[in-house]
Amino acid sequence: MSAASNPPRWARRLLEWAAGSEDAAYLLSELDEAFVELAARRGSQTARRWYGTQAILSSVHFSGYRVTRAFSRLFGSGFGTYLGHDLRYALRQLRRSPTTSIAVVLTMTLGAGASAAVLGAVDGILLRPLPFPGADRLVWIHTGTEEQPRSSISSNPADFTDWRGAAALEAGVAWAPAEEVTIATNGEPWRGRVIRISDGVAGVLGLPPAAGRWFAAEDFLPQSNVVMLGYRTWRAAFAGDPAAVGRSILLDDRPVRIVGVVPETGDAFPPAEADVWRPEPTRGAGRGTLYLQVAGRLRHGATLDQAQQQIGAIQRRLAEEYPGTNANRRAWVQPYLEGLVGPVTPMLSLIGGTVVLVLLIACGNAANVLLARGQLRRREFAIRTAIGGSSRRLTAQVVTEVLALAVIGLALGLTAAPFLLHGLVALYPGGLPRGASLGFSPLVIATAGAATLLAALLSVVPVVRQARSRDPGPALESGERSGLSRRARRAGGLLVASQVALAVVLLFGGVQLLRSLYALSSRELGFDRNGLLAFSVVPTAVRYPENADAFAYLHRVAERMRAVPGVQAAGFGTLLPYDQGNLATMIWPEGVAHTPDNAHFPLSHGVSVGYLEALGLPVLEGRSLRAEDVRGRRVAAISAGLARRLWPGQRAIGRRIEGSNWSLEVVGVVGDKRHRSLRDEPPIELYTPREQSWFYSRAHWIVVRVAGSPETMGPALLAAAREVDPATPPARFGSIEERIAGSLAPERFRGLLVGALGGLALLLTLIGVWGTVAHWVSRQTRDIGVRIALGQSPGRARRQVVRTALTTVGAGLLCGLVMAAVAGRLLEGFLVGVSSADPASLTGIAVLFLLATWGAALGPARRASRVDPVRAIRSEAG
Amino acid sequence: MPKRALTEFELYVLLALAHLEPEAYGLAIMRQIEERAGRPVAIGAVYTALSRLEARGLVHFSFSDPRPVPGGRARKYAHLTRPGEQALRQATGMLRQMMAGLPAHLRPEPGEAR
Repeated sequence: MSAASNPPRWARRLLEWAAGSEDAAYLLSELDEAFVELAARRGSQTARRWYGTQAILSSVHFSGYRVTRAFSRLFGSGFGTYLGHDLRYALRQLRRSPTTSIAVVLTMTLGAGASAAVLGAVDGILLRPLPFPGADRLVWIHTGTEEQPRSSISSNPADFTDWRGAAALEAGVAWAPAEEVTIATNGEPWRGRVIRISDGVAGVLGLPPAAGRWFAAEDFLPQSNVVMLGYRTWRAAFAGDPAAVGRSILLDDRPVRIVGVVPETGDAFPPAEADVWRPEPTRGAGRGTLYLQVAGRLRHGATLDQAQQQIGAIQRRLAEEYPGTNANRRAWVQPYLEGLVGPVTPMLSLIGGTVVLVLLIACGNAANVLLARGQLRRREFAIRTAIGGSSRRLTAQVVTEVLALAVIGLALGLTAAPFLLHGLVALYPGGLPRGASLGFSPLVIATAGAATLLAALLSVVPVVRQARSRDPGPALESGERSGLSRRARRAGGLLVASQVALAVVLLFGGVQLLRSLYALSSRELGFDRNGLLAFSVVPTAVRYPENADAFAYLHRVAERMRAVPGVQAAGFGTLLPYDQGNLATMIWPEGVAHTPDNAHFPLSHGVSVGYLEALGLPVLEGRSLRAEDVRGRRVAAISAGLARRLWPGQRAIGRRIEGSNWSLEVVGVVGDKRHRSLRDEPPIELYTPREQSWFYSRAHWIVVRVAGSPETMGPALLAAAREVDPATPPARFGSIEERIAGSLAPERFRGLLVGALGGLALLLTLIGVWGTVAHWVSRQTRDIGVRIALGQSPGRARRQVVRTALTTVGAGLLCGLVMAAVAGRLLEGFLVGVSSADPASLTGIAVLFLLATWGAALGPARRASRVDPVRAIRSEAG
Repeated sequence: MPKRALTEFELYVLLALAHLEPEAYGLAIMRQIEERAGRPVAIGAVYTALSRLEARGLVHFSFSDPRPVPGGRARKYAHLTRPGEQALRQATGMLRQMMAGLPAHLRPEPGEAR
């Protein structure tokens, strides 16, 4: 018989599942019987349709039945009838014990708020789809090297043009790093950022511009002076008026015309954060310099692997055709979202993990509080059980009470969550990618709510077991002050020990991160960071058409600043420590073949006299740069690291360095300095007189060393610069000290966050310890009284209490220390200068916990030692 | 706790059961209701109603031997218990009381359900 003349298989399977093992067999055989009859009468197609309908409708009935049955098993039949009663009773209980209720509500608020904030961040940053059509086809294309194929080095216009020939790519776009410019939109000039971007952005983003048009082919010609306005700048400077298109603004005193506005991309496209876009023709610098970031869109149906293979093949061809520059280059294609948010994933995971730990500890506290309260109500529960109340009803009531508290806490927590999230985004150093547009999707709220309620239900498990204890006898006959059941002690002790273990892990993480922060911030910089100020200045081509004019202006400013009282040294240069600037040049020591393998890429500075002195770099060999060096033969000072690299173990002075078509003589070796970050080793560096260097950028840094405090000297120095040329405003960027501190912002954020949460965890745990011990003492007043009456000294009683507390905490401490040592390995990526399982930190935390526990137990212990045995025993009888 | 009254469908199931005794099984009950009351019924609804009625002690089940036909299986039969008969009498009695003296235009015609 064909399948068409049998009942549909999916329907049978559905019924098997829905009806359950008991009834399925009977039901199926009856339905089959009916199917055969119906098929004979009305044809098998009708019969199959009828069978399917039966299956679906019946499954609905069975499922509904199962759900209601589960509910009535849990809450007693007549669930609906009792819910109102339970709720009213629960609210009465809340009012009767406000402190414990508030404690539990606070816990739930903390839990709901923190988890909602973290979930919102994770959802908005990692999971939210990108706001571009077909966003899963967007990719980054990075240049890597043979040794590090997956590094993210930039590209150049020539390589980029070749890559775009790959068949798998539908579109590609490249952009240069942002540059500082002076922008004048409607009046006062201000410093903003401009990005030079290639054509192709429309094809990659797939979005229309917010106003006007994209750059057209003619805009990429040398004479064009058009720009696109960034979305935020458009809103701020023109109030989002479409009439801004066609208007002119000034960039570094030069007028340019607005042809369009970049669309809103929700922080998902880094160039869109700039204030202005300029068209960057994809020709210009040769293949030797690397400075472009590249993104692309794959064709429909093309895979990442195909793109990787094609672009890889192009790179290999380029390596053969241009061995001088491309021999060592590889390319790799990375999914766009991964590249965008990948860097913050470890941090978000750290935050998420930390929040979960704090939540668990807080839940432990809530459970402890509820247990203690439940102990007090043992009598009430016992009486109800004795007169025939069902344990199901008791459970329902206890659960309703906790759920009521949880719902209140949830409401409060979800109200607080947006502020917590906002705070997280604001404090996160460097800004979170996509952070400006985070919100709370219904899924996030639902998940946070479910997590909180689940945590609440977990905290209530020990209480439920307590309420449902089979034998009400002991509680009834001996009244309230009847001592502590072993079970209750064990439960309480286990809770405290777990809390201690988790708190130790958190505290250890915080301590390690803070120690790492300290180690980093005290690292040697290579230059004297105190008393240093930096000014950014751009002598525009409008006011200083020739480079020589610009340099003359800069020299005058430096000289004028040197004349200010308190200034020890001043000079200008193209790069500043702890700034974003970066320019590497390809060099060879004299006498070495000019192949890529032999090349070195030092960080290259064009500096004036006084720059090295202002930084305080020690001169180790030879001399610093002098004013005469500007004319005459080409010279340079190099860092000690570069000297070691080029001529290991030999004297560097007098030797020559060669570039692609130039050479110069080394006249001085200066100390190494850390340029970009405290984590990285000092780079190799090359300092040439500014007039002899070949950079086209007009942006310079004036560095000044002062005797007094940098803050007080700032205004005088700014005034000096304005004296030279009032129309060229130098922008002050604070002291170097601030910039270095700024570069440590991620470490500080991590350390403070985890450290603060660790401290909170410690506090919560200590409260839990104190509460539990105090509770135990009050439960055991009678027993203590008896022991004292029989001759035990009060001191002994006190010591016993303290010993119990220390033992419980000690057990948790041991577990916690082991867990911390293991968990420390997860932190390794963040740590500098401290080992992941540092014994000093672990010992310190252990001692701290034991001391704190001893302190927390003192109060209850003293109360125990002061128990009046006569009163204790007598109160029992009454 | 006051006993919950029979739902309309549970009443139909009990009535169909009463008509079919002693050979009342799921499919047969379903067909009875469909024929008499003229409403389509899902067999799952019958089964869950029977389970609920059994939980309340109004019906009990018995099982036949496998039926003597090719591929024949055992059958699960439902029967009214004493309390079930009582509940049925009570429900139909209440209905009759409520219907007594209805105005003519509201009284159902014979076979009107269809």
